[in-house]
Amino acid sequence: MEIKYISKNLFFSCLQCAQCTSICPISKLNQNFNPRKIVLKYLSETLDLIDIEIAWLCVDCKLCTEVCPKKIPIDEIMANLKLKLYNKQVGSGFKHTKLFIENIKKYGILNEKKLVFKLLNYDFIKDLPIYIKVYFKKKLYWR
Amino acid sequence: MIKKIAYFNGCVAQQSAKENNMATRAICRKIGIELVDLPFHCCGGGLIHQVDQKTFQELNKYNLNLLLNEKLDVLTICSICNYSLKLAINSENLKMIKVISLEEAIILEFGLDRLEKFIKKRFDNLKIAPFYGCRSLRPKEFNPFNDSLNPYFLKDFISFLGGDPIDYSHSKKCCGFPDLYVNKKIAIKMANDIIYDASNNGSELIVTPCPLCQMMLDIYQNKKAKIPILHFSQMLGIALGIPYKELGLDMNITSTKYLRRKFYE
Repeated sequence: MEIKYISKNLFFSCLQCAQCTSICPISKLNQNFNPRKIVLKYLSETLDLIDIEIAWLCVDCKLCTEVCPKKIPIDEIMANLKLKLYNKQVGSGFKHTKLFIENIKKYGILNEKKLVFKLLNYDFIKDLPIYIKVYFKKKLYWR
Repeated sequence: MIKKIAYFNGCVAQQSAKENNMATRAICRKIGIELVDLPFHCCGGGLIHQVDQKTFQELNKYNLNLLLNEKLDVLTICSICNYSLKLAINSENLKMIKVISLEEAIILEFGLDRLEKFIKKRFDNLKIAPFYGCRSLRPKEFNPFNDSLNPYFLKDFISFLGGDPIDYSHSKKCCGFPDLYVNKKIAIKMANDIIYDASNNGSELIVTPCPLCQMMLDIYQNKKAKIPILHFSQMLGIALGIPYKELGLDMNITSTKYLRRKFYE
């Protein structure tokens, strides 16, 4: 696997205008997720693993890339960070990503039922009404 | 105009968004588009291309080869599939395969003036909130027909069906689905912010072209909200006068009974 090359020269083009941060839906809900800071640190190579673990939260909606006046590929920076996290096997999104890929490799298409049951955890009781509803609407059926 | 097209329904529309699959087949039968089923694999789900390029390429090489053998363009009903296929086509440099989303096929290829004579029911005086989802707008180069920050195609389509489209700032935001297994709290908050904004602006119905957005908004919406979330295909199906059951409207989690009363009784 290769990490896509993103020119570090972009560091000088980032204006630090924070338009990416102001439009980001995640940074509204989690103060620690700040695209402006992540981009700055990424391009100046001062990110460490604890900093980047938050990158799993990125929903890849590409709003930041769209509003960036300097067209910095922030979405690709986030994807790179996710790739690093995946290779290091850490973070909140790792388990889901790994099971998702295994599932598709096994069945060819996504087997939602298997994936959902493998991802069940302790707070599954809270969501029980949802699972029951979904089940009776015949939505979690495999083929 | 499209006569015959390969049909890439995607994993989600075969399982937890079956109604989208049913409704799409029903409307295509009605307006005379022949759908060809091929044994496709998963597109990569918008997640694999970020972390496992090799698997992504294997999956999509297989899918694209199927299309090359049949010499067909491909219709997608999921924004993520649409994005992944376009991504694979770009990297494999197979520009002769055209990937068309359902809304593009109906609005641009089939044409609204031709669709006009098929319309049986109108959404008169119904306030409908369009919800685009990220992938039908961004990245810009894959969606040249849409304005990525001021989208309008769904709004225009609602007006075309006689409805009253609502302007609200969350229409182009993310539904939160990608975070569902990373941080559930944030994901559910994001979905409910959208529904809250839409209902505050008086909407009685939300329409979205992406089955994942539909699932997220439908399943995880606050019990008090009670706003039905329809697939694009279901909304068009109602307008074409297709029966309630054939559109799978009884399979939506949030009750669509008031639509049944309004359009089918």
